[in-house]
Amino acid sequence: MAHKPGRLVWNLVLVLLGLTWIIPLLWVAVTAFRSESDSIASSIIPHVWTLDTFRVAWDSAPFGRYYINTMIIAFGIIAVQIVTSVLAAYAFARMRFRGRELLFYLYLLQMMIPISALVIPNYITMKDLTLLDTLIAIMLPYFGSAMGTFFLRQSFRGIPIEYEESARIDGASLWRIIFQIYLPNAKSALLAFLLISFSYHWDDFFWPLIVTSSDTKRPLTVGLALFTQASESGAAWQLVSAATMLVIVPVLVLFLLFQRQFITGYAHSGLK
Amino acid sequence: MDRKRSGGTMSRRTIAKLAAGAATAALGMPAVIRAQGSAVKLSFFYPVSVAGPLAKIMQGMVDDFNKANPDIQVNASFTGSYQDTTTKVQTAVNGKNPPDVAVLLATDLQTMLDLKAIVPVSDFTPGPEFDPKDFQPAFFQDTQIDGKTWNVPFQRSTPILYYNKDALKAAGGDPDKPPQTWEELVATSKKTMGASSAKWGVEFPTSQFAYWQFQALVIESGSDLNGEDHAHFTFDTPEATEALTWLVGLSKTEKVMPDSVIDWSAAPTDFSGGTTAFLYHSTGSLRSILSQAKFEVGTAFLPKNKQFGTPTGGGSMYLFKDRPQANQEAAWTFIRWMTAPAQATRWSLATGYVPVRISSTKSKEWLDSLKETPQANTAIEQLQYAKPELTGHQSGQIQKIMDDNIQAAVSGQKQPADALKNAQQQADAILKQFR
Repeated sequence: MAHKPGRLVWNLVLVLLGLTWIIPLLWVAVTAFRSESDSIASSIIPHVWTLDTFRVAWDSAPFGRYYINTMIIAFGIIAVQIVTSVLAAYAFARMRFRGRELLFYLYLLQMMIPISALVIPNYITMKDLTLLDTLIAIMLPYFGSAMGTFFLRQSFRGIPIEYEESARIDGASLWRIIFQIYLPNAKSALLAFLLISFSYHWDDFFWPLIVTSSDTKRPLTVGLALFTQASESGAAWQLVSAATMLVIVPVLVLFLLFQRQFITGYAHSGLK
Repeated sequence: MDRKRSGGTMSRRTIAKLAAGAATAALGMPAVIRAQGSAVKLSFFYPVSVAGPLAKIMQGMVDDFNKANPDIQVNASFTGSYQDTTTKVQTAVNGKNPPDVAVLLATDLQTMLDLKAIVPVSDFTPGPEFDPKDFQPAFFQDTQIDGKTWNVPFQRSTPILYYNKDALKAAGGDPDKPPQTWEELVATSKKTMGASSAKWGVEFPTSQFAYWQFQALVIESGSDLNGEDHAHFTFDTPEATEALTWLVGLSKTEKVMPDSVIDWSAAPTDFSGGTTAFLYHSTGSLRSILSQAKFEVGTAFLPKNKQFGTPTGGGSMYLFKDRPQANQEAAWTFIRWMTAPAQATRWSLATGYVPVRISSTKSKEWLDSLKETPQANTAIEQLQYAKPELTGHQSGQIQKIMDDNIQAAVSGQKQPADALKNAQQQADAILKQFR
């Protein structure tokens, strides 16, 4: 009985947190269907529901092309990050070599440099590689991830070394050990990292804006910025909302799909 | 009311027409590109800073330029906000890869000079359509340094006073005689709060760009925030203190304004929804306010203290260094075309910016549009009292310092005099290196 009131309070906190998350999202979803001449100050629910705002937003920029680019960028980056982070994490977690700790701390240090401090050096590198205004230029600086390496290294260290040793005795190669023993056991850490990384790169605006100039090379967030940067006027809330929905719906769907994976990932980890 | 309504539809129809023009032009593009293999290719960066389909309108104009000038091919690139555009230009200049032309804030001039990134447009042959005397003097004055013209005004705005004519009528006032002075504004605000459905008398947003509209109050009090040159600012003056004290008093003592930092983006929505009877805001908001308000909208000069006054705002076109001479010549042709009277009229009608050319304001298209939206004329008449927007070395940082201190005063964390003293100290510390 003693834990019941505590649980009630806890649930209440969770509900409140959930509400603070869902209310702005619902407001955006509803406002996206409001006509441009229907002031948002007049009511919360639109007087007339319309798809016009979506049409205007969609027509304002080549959103179709932007979708394809954003998918290439986000999926491309995480695909490469899986390979580089898993291999680096294994090396830092299990291999013995001189300077391992120092190298690892240097790696961590890189996490602490703000991205904005690297914009100009990265830009100059891309120019020297003659990659300016390409999708590769958007992706290249993120192919290695200190955060992914760190996450996976911690997770790999928690996996009993006996697994690896018995696999070795059975004649498994290093690749097989990494991809069939370590990776499945670090599934939840990997998924958590991939979700964070994916949504970061799906939402990234500044670096793509700096490094590309052609519409054919730009992501969704640049299209969204057409509506959100009004400093010489008030905001057109309906258009901002419609454009926001265009950008976030795929990520929301993906998140809801992966949420299950996420939880089963947790359930399957641990020593059998 | 009918007049206002039709005004809204008119402008939307204009946009539709322009957008259709842009689409047609876009379809014609591939043929044009093929025909001009040896054309000079120019890169052009521009921000979008007013809510609306500005990128499409811009692309339509650029396409028309390319069609009219087969030996030049301008590639227009949307580059986010003004701040994003400035950062992109700075990065590109640092990478020795500047654009040919960019629309940047008029107040970025000193920053671009410090970066050694730009060339004066007055070094080039003016050509018939470039007549400095035909630009609004208020917009042209801040293009001048050391007797040279460094950029060309393109999309310029100013703050104006919006008012709810119905609320003014309900309060027993003449809807065509808005308040002219600070005292009248406060008195009328109080009356409208009692007599109409407006919950508040006035809103003066300070969440962003607080320094901009605050500068108007300082000019109206007989001083300015800009000092003798770009390394000096006059923040800590009796006039500025009087202005900030009045602004804070609107909520704290007169109680005609919400007692908080009012959001810049949301304030026009409050006004068009009838929550406030008066609004200090940019000319750029006129179009959306007219389309959303269910009452008759009036515009007026910002009320005076000792005199009328307003800062200018908005963006100008800059021409860049370290580009081949053929590009610079072509870029200058492009800038002249974009700021010629015909385009100035077209851009203003489609976007709501104040026309930069005097002859635009006398054109048939503009005068016809005024029949539908006479409210657009206020800003042009107010230009005679305009001074250049707060600018100098590190202007972005200086503007931020001013914003932070105005917000501290409005939210009650600092006394107005202390806030201005702090702003002065912080600005002086940054500007020491430039004196």
